[in-house]
Amino acid sequence: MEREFTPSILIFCCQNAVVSPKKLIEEFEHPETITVIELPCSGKMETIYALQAFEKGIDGVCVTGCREGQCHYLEGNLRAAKRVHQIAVVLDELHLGADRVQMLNVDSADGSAFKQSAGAFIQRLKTIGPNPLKKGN
Amino acid sequence: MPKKYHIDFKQTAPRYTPLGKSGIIDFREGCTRCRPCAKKACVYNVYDKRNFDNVLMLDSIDYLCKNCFRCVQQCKKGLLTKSTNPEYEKMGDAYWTPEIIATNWAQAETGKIPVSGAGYGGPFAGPGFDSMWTDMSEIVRPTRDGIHGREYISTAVDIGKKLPQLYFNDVGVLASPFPPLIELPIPMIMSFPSFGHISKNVKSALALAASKVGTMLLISAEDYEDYLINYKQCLIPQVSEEHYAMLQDKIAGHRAIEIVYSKGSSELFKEIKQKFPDVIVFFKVPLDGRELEISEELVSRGAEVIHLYADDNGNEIGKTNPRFIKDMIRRVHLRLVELCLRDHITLIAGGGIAMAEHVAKSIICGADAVAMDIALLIALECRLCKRCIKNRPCPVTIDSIEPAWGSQRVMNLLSAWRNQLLEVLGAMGLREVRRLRGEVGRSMFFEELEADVFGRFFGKRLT
Repeated sequence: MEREFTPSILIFCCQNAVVSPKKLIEEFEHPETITVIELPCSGKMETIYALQAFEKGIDGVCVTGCREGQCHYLEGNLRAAKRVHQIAVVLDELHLGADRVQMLNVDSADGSAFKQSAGAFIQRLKTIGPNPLKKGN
Repeated sequence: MPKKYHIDFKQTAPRYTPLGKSGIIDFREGCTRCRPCAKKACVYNVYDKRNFDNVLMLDSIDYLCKNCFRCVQQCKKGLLTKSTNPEYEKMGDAYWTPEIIATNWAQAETGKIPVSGAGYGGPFAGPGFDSMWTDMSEIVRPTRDGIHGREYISTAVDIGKKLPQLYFNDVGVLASPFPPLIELPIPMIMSFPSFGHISKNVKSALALAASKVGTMLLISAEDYEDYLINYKQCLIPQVSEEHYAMLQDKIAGHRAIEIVYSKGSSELFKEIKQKFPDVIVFFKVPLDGRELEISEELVSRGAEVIHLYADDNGNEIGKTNPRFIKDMIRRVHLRLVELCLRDHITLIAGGGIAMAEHVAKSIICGADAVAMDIALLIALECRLCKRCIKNRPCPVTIDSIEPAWGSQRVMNLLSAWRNQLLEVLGAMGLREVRRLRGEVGRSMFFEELEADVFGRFFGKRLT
């Protein structure tokens, strides 16, 4: 029987959007496959960050930012959303699948919202399958 | 003039981009590409050197930035913002703070004393070693031409038993038997931390550094493998009663051995001393509240060195309201002084030695030397993420370091720490570190001062 695919994912997390995401991640099924990079603002995430991660074979990238209008740097989350869109376009052109990247806007007061949406993202990645650029594929 | 002791340091770049304190948020969209771009004006050219590390997912700008805020102020559209890096702030724990880790990284990279400008903005006292102030007024006898000048400041310490007096026979020949003694050029020995991917390469790196510097490395019997046999002279194997049989054949040729203290260890001590009279025996004693009795007992049995260890954060082991290592060492030291037995024994303090100043402060509290542990791992780029405890891969792959690179990083750290010790000694007007031991007259303790000054009005502190 084929082993179930566990996607490796990278989460760029705004420090203001999610309180202690690394602790929340520990409650997931396979915390070792999830890398969390905390950023001062989701607007710090550059497209190259995610693209290099895909190049290295990561299965999905998720950017977590504050809700619209609630960014501490006023428009960081809007810029992050634009960049995520840009990444999706590139992924589509490369036939890697635009679905591999997602922007999550969550409320810092609600840790469960982050867990829920990140969980849903992981589920989605399971249906998409592994990144074809991954070594050994 | 004899050659001065010197630790060779060499700029040794880290293998991975270190975590930087700053987090530059760069809103590129909306940039009007104006000619006098704030990024080009950076005097440190960090925007040109900027690189993205796709292994650790780090923007190198966070490490390169010197926090001058020029770009933030100069960008006409206000597109640049600076913040602290949350990854940096969450590094380590309450004791091994990000600042401690980052300064140790810098010292392991450059081998030089870290210098920060613009004064000191922090609090004047804090918990642990921070509640100790050292007197560095330099009024006693300043050096003529600095700490590296003609007046030699010695950092050497003697490990072993010292004779209280000498006896001579009728013809004036020394009659007292001379116990074995090791002279270490620095009052720091090395030991392995309780966690970390301690691979063959890491062990070789530390052993190599110990042999080059001339200090010694404590190594447990399980870790002691055959490839380390060349470094015999600078290794101190740690044995407990059950491990002794395993190592018995290997002991010859070592200068010292450490026994993990337990009830029956004095028998083992006798056995080792009988077989190997030239080997100095260390006793590893936990600081768990019983250290006074154990030390007294060991001294009365003729022990030579006691290695007192606290937990990783310098706290008493297994207590809910623990005392700190500096207070515990001071107590043991003073007790032995009272009993006129202090010079019969060498005290080594370990656990929570995180910065160069902790070496000087431990020695002031009464230790002869200190044992470094986690700081050595930090020199090898450890981030104290403690993923190794959960059996996850190390983000900076410490297990696969080059021994030469690793030993140079450790030597750099030791060199920087030694130079800081020289600064302290020079500023105190002391010429050797042996005289710093128990020299509490050159320090002030916050708790004591507070009790002296405010105690009479407000009573005892509640915590």
